[in-house]
Amino acid sequence: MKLMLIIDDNVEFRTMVSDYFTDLEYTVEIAGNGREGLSKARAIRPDIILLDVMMPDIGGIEVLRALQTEDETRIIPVLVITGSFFDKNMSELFKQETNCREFMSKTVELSYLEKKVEAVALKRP
Amino acid sequence: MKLTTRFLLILLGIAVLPLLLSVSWNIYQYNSSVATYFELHKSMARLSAVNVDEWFLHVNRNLAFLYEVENPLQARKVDESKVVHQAVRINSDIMSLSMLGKDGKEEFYLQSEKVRSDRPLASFAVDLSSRARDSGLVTSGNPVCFSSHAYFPLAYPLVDGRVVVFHFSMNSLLEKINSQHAGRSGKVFLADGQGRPLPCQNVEGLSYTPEDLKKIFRANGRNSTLSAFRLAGEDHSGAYSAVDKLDWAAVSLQSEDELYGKQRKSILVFSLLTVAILAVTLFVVFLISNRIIRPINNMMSGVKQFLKEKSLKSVIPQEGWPEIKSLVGVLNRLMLELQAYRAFQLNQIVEEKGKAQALIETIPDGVLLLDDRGGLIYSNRISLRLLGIPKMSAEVMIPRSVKNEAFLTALTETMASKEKYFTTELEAPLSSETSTTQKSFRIISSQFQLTTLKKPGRVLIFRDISAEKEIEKAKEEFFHMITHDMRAPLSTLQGYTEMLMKKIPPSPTTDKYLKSMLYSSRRLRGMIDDILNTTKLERGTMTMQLDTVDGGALVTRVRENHEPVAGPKNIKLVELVPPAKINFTGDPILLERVITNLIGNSLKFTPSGGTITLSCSETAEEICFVVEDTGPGIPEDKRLSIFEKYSQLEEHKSMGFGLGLAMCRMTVDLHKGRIWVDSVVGKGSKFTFTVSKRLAVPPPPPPAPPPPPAPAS
Repeated sequence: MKLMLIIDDNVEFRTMVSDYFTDLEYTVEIAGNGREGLSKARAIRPDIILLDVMMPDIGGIEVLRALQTEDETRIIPVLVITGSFFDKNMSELFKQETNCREFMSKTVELSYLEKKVEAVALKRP
Repeated sequence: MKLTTRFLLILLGIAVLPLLLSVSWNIYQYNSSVATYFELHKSMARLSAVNVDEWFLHVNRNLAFLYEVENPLQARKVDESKVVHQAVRINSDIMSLSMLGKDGKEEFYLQSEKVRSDRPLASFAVDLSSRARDSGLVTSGNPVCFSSHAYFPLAYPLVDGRVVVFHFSMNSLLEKINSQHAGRSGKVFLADGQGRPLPCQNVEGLSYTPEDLKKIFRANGRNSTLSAFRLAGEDHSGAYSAVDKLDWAAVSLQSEDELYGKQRKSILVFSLLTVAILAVTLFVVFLISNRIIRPINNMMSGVKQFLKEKSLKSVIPQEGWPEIKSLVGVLNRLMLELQAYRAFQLNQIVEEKGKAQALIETIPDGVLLLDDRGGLIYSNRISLRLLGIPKMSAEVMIPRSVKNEAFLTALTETMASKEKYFTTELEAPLSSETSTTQKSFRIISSQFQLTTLKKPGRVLIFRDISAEKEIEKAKEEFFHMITHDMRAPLSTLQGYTEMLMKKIPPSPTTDKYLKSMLYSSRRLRGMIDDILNTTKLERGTMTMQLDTVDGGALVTRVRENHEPVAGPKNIKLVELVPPAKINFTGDPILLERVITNLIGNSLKFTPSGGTITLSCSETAEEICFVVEDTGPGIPEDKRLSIFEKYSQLEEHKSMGFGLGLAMCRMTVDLHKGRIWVDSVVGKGSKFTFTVSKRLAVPPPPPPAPPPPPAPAS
């Protein structure tokens, strides 16, 4: 059983992803904003985090950096998924962070997302 | 040379020159006549003089008998009177003879009865006889005339002291001489050394001043010519010749009037004629000058002034002959018309200029008109304000004089370009009184030919495109909205459809429904993606998400995606499977859109029962994808233009945005590949595109402290 944490304020997307991965026998936890996501990550230490970029309280990049500051969360791989238009610079910016494994759009097909998640999560012991 | 002078010379040449020639000819003739006449008179005078000499010799011979009288040596008493009588009887020329004794008394006296004189002739020669006695020489006296008979007195002193006084008749001599006259007025006469004419000469009008003749004799010697000699109140010419033995001269004269009166008259007439013609010529020249040349000069100066001043101050005065007058009139009319026309033209130009200026000043764009060296020909206020040029002047040079940095850079680039039509865009801070705002400008440069300078000029237009940019930005934001707000729910819809497909136990009906749902939601997303991608590709802001792409798998996925549509349409989708796996670097999502668009088009146009063949192959340089259908084909002239944005075949106007193929082309360009179509009308089309193998592999993410297992990107 893999434990996944989704940090996203978009209910539609997170519900769908949650449903999808639950169906794939993941245990999925949901956090509606950055702060909640950080605390949940600390508390449950998921195998993988799906992180949104634009959130009302703290943004994706801050969450990424905050996760790095603590030993418990530093090694958790994060897939950054953005719903907004992104450019190359932004992608580069996120990829600078060591715990960011992938930067992708929310419009990707779920099967593609699944492939990426599997690739990252399975590498973990 | 002035026109008047020229006319004068021409007329003189025509009229006066022949006259002058004839006058000269006359004068030449006259001179040669004079010479001839003088020769004639010289001969006549000479001849007369010779005659007198002859006569005198004869007279001398008549004195021979006196030897007998005075020869005392023979001692023979001579009857003197008898000898004398005989001698007188033999010689009819002796008109009287008187023997004077030593004391001067007359010893005897003989006189011809022809002598009509009541006094003995000898009584006139008392003085002569005493002179002869004193000198002992034969002495001649002055001829005497009685009753128109001339007598020549001669005193012969005898050795015994007596003197014989003769009077010889001179009539025959004089008659002979006088009758030799030349012409009608010719006169030949004898004159003595004092210039006096010998008496009893039968010559009419022999009245002159003897002193004059004497002077001439003294001055000219024995033979000479005479001219302008006044005789009976008339000028005479001729010659004289002195007689050898006597102090006489034979004079031959003729009236000058008769000699060369006619010639003189003709010279005079011709001279007068010359003068008259000269006068007439001068008059004609004056007339011409007055009636033609002056008006012509007036016209000339008038037209010159008109050309110089560009306006007719005063009309040319109408004078001279009628034709000239009308010419002047016509010319005046012409100049007035020209002036009116010019004024009209100027008005037109001023009006046109006003219109152009109003237009140029009214439009909100900055407008500059430059010559080939960048000098200002025309500018409106807006352009000067934009460029920071205080005032339009001859020193202003573009781009040197531009103060605004951003414009300076852009204009330097613009002026350097050789393109006939050139545009560039720039961002320039624009300071107004209150604030400085960043504005966007587009510079449009168009070259044209300056007709007057025969050099290329340039029109520059500065257009404030800040508003356009704003609109573009708004459009962009609208697309963001679409991305963010439309794609997310669509993704959810799609995700749940996929999940449903897994969850619901397979049955033909549900499978069909779900597949259709999935196909449509994918198609809708593809359309939205195409719109967004086209915008990004056009603006050059598209970034490729490079990844390793399996060409065969890509083709397979696209084919599978389209099966739900191809099946119902009864179109066969065929996939040529490559012999080996083809892996390359590219943007899988974008490339899938390209193939999807191509297959979408083929599906649209291929009729039922047709086939669409997909394939992927590999060469050393590139990957090649082919979508071939059995549709209607594409006409040859359209095979390039279909890849332009919004260019659709006319009959397909209602079937899409027309963005698809343009997006494909740009995407393929981004992948450094080519896209083209081969087609046979009525048989089908074959779209081919390539992807270069030389695409840069994206740099791997920097190594992280605990190196995570890198994903496949």
